[in-house]
Amino acid sequence: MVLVERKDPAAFEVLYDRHGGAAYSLAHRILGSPEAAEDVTQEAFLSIWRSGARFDSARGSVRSWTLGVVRNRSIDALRRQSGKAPKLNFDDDAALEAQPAQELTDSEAIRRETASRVRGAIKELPEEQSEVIGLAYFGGFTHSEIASMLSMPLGTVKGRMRLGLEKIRLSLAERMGIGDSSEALP
Amino acid sequence: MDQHRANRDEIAAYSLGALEPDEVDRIESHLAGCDECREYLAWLDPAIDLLPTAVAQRRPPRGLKRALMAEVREDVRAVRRAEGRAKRSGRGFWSALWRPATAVVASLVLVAGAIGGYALREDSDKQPGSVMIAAQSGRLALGERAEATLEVVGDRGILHVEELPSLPKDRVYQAWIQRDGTMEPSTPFVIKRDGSTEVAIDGSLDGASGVYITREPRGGSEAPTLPVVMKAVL
Repeated sequence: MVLVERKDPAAFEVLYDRHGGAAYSLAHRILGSPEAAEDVTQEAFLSIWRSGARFDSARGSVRSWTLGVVRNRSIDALRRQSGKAPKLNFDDDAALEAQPAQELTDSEAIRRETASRVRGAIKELPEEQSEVIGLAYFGGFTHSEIASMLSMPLGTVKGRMRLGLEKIRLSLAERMGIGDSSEALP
Repeated sequence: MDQHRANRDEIAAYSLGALEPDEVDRIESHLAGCDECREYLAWLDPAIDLLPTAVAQRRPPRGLKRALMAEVREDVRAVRRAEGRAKRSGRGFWSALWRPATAVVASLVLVAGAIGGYALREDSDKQPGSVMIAAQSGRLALGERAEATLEVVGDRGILHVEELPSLPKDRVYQAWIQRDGTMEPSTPFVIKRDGSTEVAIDGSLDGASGVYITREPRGGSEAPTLPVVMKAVL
């Protein structure tokens, strides 16, 4: 990122090669359209190129930061598309990953494996928990908007978000060795 | 249940970006002074970080990288062109002092009466820390071409245009700030005979996603009436 901040196009190209696929995939999931995903991904990477100094390594990885930028841009675009409902179903993913294994690079293979494990953790959630998490993260809705949409109290929405996230976190510890697999809630 | 436990619902919603702005302020104030709640947020972080990876991994269109890198390289060329202009004018590019805002306003007022907008001096220097953004062409007639660079300094912008097509007397160009999906009217401006000018963008660019240029009736418009001729994506 230091070289990107110094406006080195070659370094920026590496950044895109490493994270462009995940960024485009996230934008596509949120926006549900290849054209919109392409536009938002391009806008997001350009904003990174033009303001790379905002990255703070103390607050997370380059990948997380990049995907955060893409997510925010996608949510903004989604809000501009009045009334468009976000996609919440994770079940279509397997069909979309039909690319033959021999065409995958090692890093792509690892990322797909990671995606599969994270999806597995989400699928284990009760539907009411995955629903509110999906609406918030991929739909960009606030908890009060979700409460209104689902006709439930605010406290219930936030409680389901917390329970769902805690289960995902604990499940990831078991599946991917994130933190200590026996790690309990702090 | 103690207060920290009670805050966990708020923190989970915060980590998902699902709180209202006033609630964000409140929880961030609390987090700043509470180790226990910060520890909980940090514990949740891996789950949040991995959520975007749960989506189907799709291969981006090849044209995306090509278009992106073309813009990146054009930004680099824009900086070089700006440096070249500064050298030709005999002044250091980065070392020159930024003119005080009052001077900018004064120079603008002279032109504002005529065109409802304002132009900057041709040889205006660039402020240290500014970012040069190459604009993309929008709807131009066959054979028309234009170049524009948006110089962003903090939350302010200066548009440098070259070779914009000339306009009939009843038309001006107008800059627009796109923010939260809406086009906010900014500076109407005219160009010199060679199609160039420099224009201070009226309005903050904080939170803006782009600056656009359209052709509008003389005096400017409250909303764009004609297609975008140039755009700079922020």
